[in-house]
Amino acid sequence: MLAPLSHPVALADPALVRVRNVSKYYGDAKVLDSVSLDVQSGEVRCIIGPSGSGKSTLLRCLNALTTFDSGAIVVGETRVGYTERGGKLRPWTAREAAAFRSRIGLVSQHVNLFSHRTVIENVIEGPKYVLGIPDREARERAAALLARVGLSDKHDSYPIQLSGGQQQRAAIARALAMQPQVILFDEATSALDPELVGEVLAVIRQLAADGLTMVLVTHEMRFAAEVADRVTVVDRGRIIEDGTAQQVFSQPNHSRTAEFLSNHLDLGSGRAARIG
Amino acid sequence: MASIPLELRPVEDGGERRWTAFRHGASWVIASFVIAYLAVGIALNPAMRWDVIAEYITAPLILRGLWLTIMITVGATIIGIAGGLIVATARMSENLLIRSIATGYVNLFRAVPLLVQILIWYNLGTFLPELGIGIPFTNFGFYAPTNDVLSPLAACLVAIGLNQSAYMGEIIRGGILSVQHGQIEAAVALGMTRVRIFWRVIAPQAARSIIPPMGNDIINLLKATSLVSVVGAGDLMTRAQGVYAATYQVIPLLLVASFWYLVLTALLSFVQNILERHFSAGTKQDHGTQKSSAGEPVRQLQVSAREAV
Repeated sequence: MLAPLSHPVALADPALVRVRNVSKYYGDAKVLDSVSLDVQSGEVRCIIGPSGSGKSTLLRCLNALTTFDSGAIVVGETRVGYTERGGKLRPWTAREAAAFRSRIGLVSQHVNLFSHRTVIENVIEGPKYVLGIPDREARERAAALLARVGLSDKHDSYPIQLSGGQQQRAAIARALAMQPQVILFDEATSALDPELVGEVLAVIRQLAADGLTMVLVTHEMRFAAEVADRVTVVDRGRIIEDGTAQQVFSQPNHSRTAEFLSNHLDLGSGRAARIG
Repeated sequence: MASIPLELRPVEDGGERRWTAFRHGASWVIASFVIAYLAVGIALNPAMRWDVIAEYITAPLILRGLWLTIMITVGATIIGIAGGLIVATARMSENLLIRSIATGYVNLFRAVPLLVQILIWYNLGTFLPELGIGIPFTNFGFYAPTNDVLSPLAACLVAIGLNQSAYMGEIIRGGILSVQHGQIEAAVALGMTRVRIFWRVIAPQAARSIIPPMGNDIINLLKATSLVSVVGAGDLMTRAQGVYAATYQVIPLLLVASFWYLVLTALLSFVQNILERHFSAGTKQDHGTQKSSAGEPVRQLQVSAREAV
């Protein structure tokens, strides 16, 4: 059942994110079934698969927004859910869990900008109140980040006054402001109007080029094929495919992958051929 | 005419608008007349002792009562908000025992009329002669006669404050539940701790839906303080009653009291409006610059239709 790791972990250079045999149940339903995967520092990893396959749950395990029943996840030097005290791993306190989450960025499909704060207030909220960065410095950094996502003229707008695409770009700036080790994108474009998807993808593409470590759950196959260093296909809680974008899109090993791809790529095999 | 397509035919008014304007004007005229009639009737009523009203409206006795009414209102509001926060938190606790106690508290204090509660606290001395803190089943502790601890004023504050906590608890709970879960999740994902999430994200957003019913509730509380006159606590209503019991100027004194309640209520409404505006930031799409007029689109359509013809 164990999904084969496509590249063995070298001791000298362990992956930034290591997921080992993670399983999770909702009652009797197994949402994650012995999932293992590695994400290297600087890697862009796309996780694709049918709805309800467990992609988002896997992502939420990575930043401890949800718990899992067995297995282990390590991000950098941290074993998710535990902290070392007196040579033993003890469950996190609420404060330790919060401190861990501050190191992992999350951009969700629901955006969830704080509706009662302006764009810049949203971006400085974490740095100021979690990391304890002084107001002036936080604002300077926020201004630079907002420029990076193309929202320099929207500092004082409230989220409700922005388009969906602008909101999502502000949410990306808010995540970046924490200088996270990894940024997770949970279907960041799937709630957007089709004509707004492009501007958000352009920002993510730029971040990929800048060398950020990112894990993206996405339905944008074309985009995944373009930006991902590696692509993981999840189906019914299991990883059925894990390889470079080229391998997964043009020579899928699993019949379910081929089926999923043909459902999602409007051009079917012709599309895959073009990527290849 | 018949050859013009239906969508291009001009729309006739048919006198509808004139009739609406007439009804509108007529209702104003009738309302003004009725109000003027009542005002003159009251003002010129020989039993209407304006001199008595003028004499007592700023009388030191009445003003002392007014001051006490304000004090009870402020005190009970503070107890109510603090108690309400505890009740709301307890009602949403994961612990069944805490949740049950809070639910029982709310149900009990909402069930018993406030007047009865005031009388119970006022007469507590006849039931529990001594109040204090000590170790159960021993003689250690500090106790004092109930009637010394619970003056009429303190009994009223306790009664109204506890009653207020029950209502305020439900209002606060409703407000907290109205905050979208995604907002809290975003704060969790940023690494904020629970206390910080409450004060930075939940409280300011809950305030939007808490303030209108809370304003309502505090205004009710202000008026409910008049009930403490039954135990002679010395509030505005007690003073007014005291005066008319001696002078038989019942209606003028009640009007004096009404005037001050009206002033206080207006003040509270004013504060409520300011708070509402403060916490409404980020809820409106435009900046209030767009003017919308209901008749506008139809008229534009008519104009363009005429041009087309």
